[in-house]
Amino acid sequence: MSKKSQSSAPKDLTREQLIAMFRRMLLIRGFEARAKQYFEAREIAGFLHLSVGQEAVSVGACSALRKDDYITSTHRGHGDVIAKGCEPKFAFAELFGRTTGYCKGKGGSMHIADFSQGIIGATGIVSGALPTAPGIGLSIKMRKTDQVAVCFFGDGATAEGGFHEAMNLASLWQIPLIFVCANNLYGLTQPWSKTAYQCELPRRAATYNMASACVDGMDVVAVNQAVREAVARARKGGGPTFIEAKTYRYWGHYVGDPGTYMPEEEQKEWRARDAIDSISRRLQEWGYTTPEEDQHIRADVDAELDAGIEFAKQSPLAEPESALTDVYSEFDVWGNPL
Amino acid sequence: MREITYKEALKEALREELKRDERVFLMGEDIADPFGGAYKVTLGLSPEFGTERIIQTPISELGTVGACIGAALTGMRPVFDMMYIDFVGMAMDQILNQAAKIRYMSGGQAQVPMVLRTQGGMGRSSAAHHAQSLEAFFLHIPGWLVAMPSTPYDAKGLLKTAIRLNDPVAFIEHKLLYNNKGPVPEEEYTIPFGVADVKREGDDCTVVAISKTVEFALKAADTLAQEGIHIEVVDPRTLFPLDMQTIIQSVKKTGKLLVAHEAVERGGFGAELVARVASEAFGYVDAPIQRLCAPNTPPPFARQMEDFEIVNDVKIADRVRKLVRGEL
Amino acid sequence: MPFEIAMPQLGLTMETGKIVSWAVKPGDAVSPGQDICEVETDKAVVAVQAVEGGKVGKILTPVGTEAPVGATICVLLGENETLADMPAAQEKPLESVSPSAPVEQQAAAAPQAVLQADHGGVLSATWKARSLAKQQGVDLHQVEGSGPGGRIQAADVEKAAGGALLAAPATEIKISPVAARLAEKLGLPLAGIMGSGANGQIMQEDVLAAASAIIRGQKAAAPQRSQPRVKEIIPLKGVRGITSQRMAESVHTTARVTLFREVDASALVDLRQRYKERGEQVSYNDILMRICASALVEHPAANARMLNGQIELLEGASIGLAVDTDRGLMVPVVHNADQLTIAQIAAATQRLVQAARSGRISPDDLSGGTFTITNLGGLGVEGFTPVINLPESCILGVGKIVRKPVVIDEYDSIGVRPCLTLSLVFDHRVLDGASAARFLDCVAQMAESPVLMLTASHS
Repeated sequence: MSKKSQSSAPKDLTREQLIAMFRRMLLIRGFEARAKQYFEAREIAGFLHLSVGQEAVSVGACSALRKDDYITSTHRGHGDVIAKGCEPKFAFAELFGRTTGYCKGKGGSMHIADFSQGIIGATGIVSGALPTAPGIGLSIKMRKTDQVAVCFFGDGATAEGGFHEAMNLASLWQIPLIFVCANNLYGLTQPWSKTAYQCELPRRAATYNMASACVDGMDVVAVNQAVREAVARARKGGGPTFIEAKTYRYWGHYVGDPGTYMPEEEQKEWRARDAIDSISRRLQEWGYTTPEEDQHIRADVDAELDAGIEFAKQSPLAEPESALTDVYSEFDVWGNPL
Repeated sequence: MREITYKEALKEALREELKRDERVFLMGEDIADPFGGAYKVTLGLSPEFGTERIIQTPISELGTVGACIGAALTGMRPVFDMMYIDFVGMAMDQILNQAAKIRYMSGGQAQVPMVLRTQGGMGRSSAAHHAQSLEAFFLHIPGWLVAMPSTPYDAKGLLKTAIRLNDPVAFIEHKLLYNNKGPVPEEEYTIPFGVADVKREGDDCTVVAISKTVEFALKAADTLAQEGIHIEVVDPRTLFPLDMQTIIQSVKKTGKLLVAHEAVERGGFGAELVARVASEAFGYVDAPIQRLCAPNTPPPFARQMEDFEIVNDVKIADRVRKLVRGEL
Repeated sequence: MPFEIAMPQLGLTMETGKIVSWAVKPGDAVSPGQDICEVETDKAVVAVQAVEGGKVGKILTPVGTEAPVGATICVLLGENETLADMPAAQEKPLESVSPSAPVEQQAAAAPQAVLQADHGGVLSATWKARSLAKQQGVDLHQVEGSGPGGRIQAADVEKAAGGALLAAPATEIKISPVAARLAEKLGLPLAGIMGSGANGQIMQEDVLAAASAIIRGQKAAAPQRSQPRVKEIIPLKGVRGITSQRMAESVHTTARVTLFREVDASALVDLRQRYKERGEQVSYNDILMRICASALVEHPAANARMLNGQIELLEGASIGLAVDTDRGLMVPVVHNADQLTIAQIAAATQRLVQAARSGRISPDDLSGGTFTITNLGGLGVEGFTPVINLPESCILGVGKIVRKPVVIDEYDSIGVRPCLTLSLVFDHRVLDGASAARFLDCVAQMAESPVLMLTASHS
């Protein structure tokens, strides 16, 4: 281990924290890969929107949060929710429609939630959670706690009215909310250049008088540092922050999308900067891991994921009639008081 | 018993619940003093509770309805004030896909204890964008509860319940009811959801009416009584949960049903009710079931056109007469 | 525009009039109110005045000819008009006779075809009717529907099953549903409209003709005749309408004869007093009902009805009591009164009267009677000739109990006794005077000595 490498290690993060981030990114990528596999084998129904390539954004951000902090996510939310603390086995169970799934099979891929960990849920509508997020911030402020909330979304959502209303209200109310925009250059099949005219996202934040940052979304440490800064600001009552994290999704919009609108050159360029490769390499450079330890971590992740799949497959299928429950808290689906 | 106006009754309900539970707050456009709401329902509340609990917002329905949902998901109990139900389109995604569905999609982990107070209805020549009756929108979204009070007594009791329930409630008032006076007890009371109110008894025909149309139905009842026709006026008060039992009991007694509402006929609450009666009270129905609703048009501007469209006591009495005489 | 003078309606039943004389000829100037001709009806010769002024253009009905009511008899021309200016015959929109009923344009264009109850084997019946039919084992094909288009309604099934309609007439005026609706809209009473359809059924044209006749008659006659001004209109609907119909029907079809009998009501008074002392509310009607029931059992000829062209002697004396209510006259029935005690009858009548007055009486309670009692004594009437409650054959009118001086023994001593006049109206088609008199005698004797009820035979 050269002295040069050691000195590049981030000073405000411990070895354990960095290894945890690395592991979590591996967990996400492995989860997505297996999900794709089982989806293509028709064991998972519906749609899958996978976030492979963007792990650093999810993990970097969530690693700056406490368990009692909140996040909202998107249709491409597996990475976010696992980064915040969801266990793959229960997430797999949800995808497989089992009773042991986080949402008992009622939500599916696009709506995974775990309220006990502050995960307010992924949503199938682009920008769907954006108007909701300022309400979370408002609630924190009203209850006078020092929690914060992170709202994940992509570049595609920034064209929706809800994004602008949320930004305006967050700024007006000065709430502890952090907007984390994973700009993966594509909204559905539209490239970012065709979505906004010569716009750099942080400029949008400026129009709402909001603090902002732009980071390399393929660098988990950079993301983490930016979010930690924003969290600190928020906890102190300094109001919201907008963070653009430039990243890339390797696979199409959804499983089945060939992604032919994504030029080969561009894909190569981004994959060369892969976030997991990057942190894996740097951990070794910093002397925090050895190649053997690196392998060990990967094998461990694989084992956890395999066990998770097993668990999901063994879990009982949710009863068809359970579709009728939990529409309301106080009444059954026919309107009778519970 | 003292008589107060519908809007005073609503204000009392809000004040009492704001006092009772510090998690309750109001959010809306122009709701704080000195304006106090488009129909003055919230006048006087912001001096008492402060602008941090009576939150006045920019014109940003999607964002503010969304914010109420977010707050409701994380421990608060918001009461949103949507000035006109016609603006519901601005907030539709949050209403349709978020508030209604988060509990379900999360497998029961979440609850959304929010009230969306709004008002609709014709009669002020407010024209197409400020006079609609859109309760059918909410009725058609599983996850929402729908209440439509017609009197000050019902308004206060139902609003208090709405605020205390842990599910999203669309609380739909009517712009022409705000200044109506009615008896309201001094003592605290609530009205449960899912309990209809028979506002007038009679043997000859059942008239189910909601919101402002209830008043017209009662006036028609007076007119008809002088002709020897006695109608039973049933006010469901909540469209979901719906008290079918009371309605079926009434149809069993009279054999004849007229559903009257101000919303447009096609796909309205009347259609839902008629279908249910046709199915659940089949053997008791002795004449074609009637709907009396606004024609399928946007609300018109000119006063005479509005009058043409509004379901009033004369139209109700006319239809009942035909029904009772066996002409239909 | 030329003005047509029509043959006026000079009496409710007038259908045609004959021109007796003309006071004007073509070319004459006529001013409003001027006599223009004389018309002979079956009752009198009446002068007809011009409502509007003008010049006589044409006389269509010369002296001696008859014209139907409403037909044009004379045409008046305005200045510079000629007969060529007469408009081609067209349907003028009808004005309403009753001020409160607006006529829709559809009235003139109403469809002629009337739907039959049986649409090619498929019955038109309400859900409740079908339910009831199933329950009661009634074959819907045997049921006549009274709803629009002949739709079978619950009441029709009940009737077929043996229950009866709420005060439904035993024989109905035959009228097509379209015509009935039109007559209703125009506020026209059905009595007096001649039906031109099958079996005398009143059709739409008949109603239109009657209405237009009245309008033109009113137009022609109004200014000169001293007509009373209408203060209020009571439509012939509901109980009033049905009562009107049934009363007319009864009087026009029965051969009515009245027997008066004055009885000494001392025993009745005494008996009622005894009940009162025991704390039981019993009225004279209750006692008389029991007496009549016994008498009817003894004299079955009076417990009969004329139905379907035959006389039916009936089992059990079910006696109706005429009751005055807010909605009108109702006749609830105490079924099989001959098997009830006076106290039971009293309880029944109390329940029935309460139900009738509160508007909550059932069809069952208003039907199935074999005899009726009507009491106007409370309003001071002594004797009267009530209308028989079809299809029954007798009705007993009860008057006021009046204390009068009467001869009380064979020595012509005078004493004061409570006297009651019983008025029996009977249908001579069903029973003869002697039978009716014997029945009334039986009632009178039991009224004077109620103990005789004990010796009467039971059904």
